[in-house]
Amino acid sequence: MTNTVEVSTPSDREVQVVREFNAPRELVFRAWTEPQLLARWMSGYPGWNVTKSEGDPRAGGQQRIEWTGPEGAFMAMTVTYREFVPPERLVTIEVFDEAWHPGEAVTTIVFTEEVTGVTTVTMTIVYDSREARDIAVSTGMTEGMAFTYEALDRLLAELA
Amino acid sequence: MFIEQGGYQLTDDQLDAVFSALADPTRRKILARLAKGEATVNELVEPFDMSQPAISKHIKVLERAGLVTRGRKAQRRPVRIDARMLAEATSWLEGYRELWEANFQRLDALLQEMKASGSSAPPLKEEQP
Repeated sequence: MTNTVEVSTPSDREVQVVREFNAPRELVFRAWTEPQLLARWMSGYPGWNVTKSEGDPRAGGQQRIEWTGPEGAFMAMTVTYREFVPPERLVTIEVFDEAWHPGEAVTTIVFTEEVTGVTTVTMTIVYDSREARDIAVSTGMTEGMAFTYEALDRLLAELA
Repeated sequence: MFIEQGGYQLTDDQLDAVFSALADPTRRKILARLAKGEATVNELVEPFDMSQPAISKHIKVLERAGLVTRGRKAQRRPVRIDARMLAEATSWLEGYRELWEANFQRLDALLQEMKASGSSAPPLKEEQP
C-alpha cells in the first residue's frame, strides 16, 4: 500500500490528490462526510483546529466547517453536496467565507477498493480558472503558517 | 500570474511546459535515466520500443520545458537533466502536498480507531490548543 500523497495537475485549472488508506471504503467515506469525524482530521496545519463542523451530508445537503488558527486566525467554508453516492463518490462545491480565489471550486472525490481493506481516494478539484487554481494551491502553503515536521511529529504522538 | 518559489519565479508558460512535459510516462522515464547521469540520444532510445525520431521528439519537449539541456560536443551532444527547473516546478506543489499529508496522517489514525471500535463512531476528542 502506498501511503504517500500524490499531487498532480491534470489540467491548468485542476489539482488532483491521490492517497491510499488502510480501511474499507465505507469507513473512509464516513470519515470524509460525517461532520464529527471530519473535524477529527481535516484541521490543516499544526496550530489550527476545527472549531465547528456541522451539516447534512446527503445530495443537496450543506456542511459548514470553521477553523481557528494561531493568533486568532479564522477560516470558514460552506460545502454543498452536488452528488453523494456512498461509499464511492462525492461531488461538492466549496465556498470559503473569505474567498482565497475567485469563483467556486468543484471537488470530485472517488473512493475505490480494488484490494479488500485498502481504499484509494482520488480527489480532483477544478477551479474556474488557472489563476484561481494557482492562488488556492499557493495560499494553501504560504498562509502565514510555518509548517514544520517537529509539529507533525508531536501531533502524531498525541494521536498514537 | 507568477508563482514565487524560494526567490525564483516561474511564469505560467514555464509551469505549463514543465507540467505537460512531466505528464508523459516516456518522458518521465527519460528523466529518471538522466537523473543517474548524462546520456546520448542513442543511449536514451535503447530501453524503449520506440523509434529514434519519436524519442528525439520527447527530448525536444523536455528541452523546451527547461528540464534537460543538450551538450555542445559536435558528435555526441549528450543530454543532461536540469535539476533546478524540476525542483522549482515541483516544489510549487510541495507545500500543498504536505498540507494534505498532515490531514491524511490524522485520517489514518481515525480510521484505525474506527476499525478497532467496530461500526460505532468514536466521540469527538477535545483538541489541544
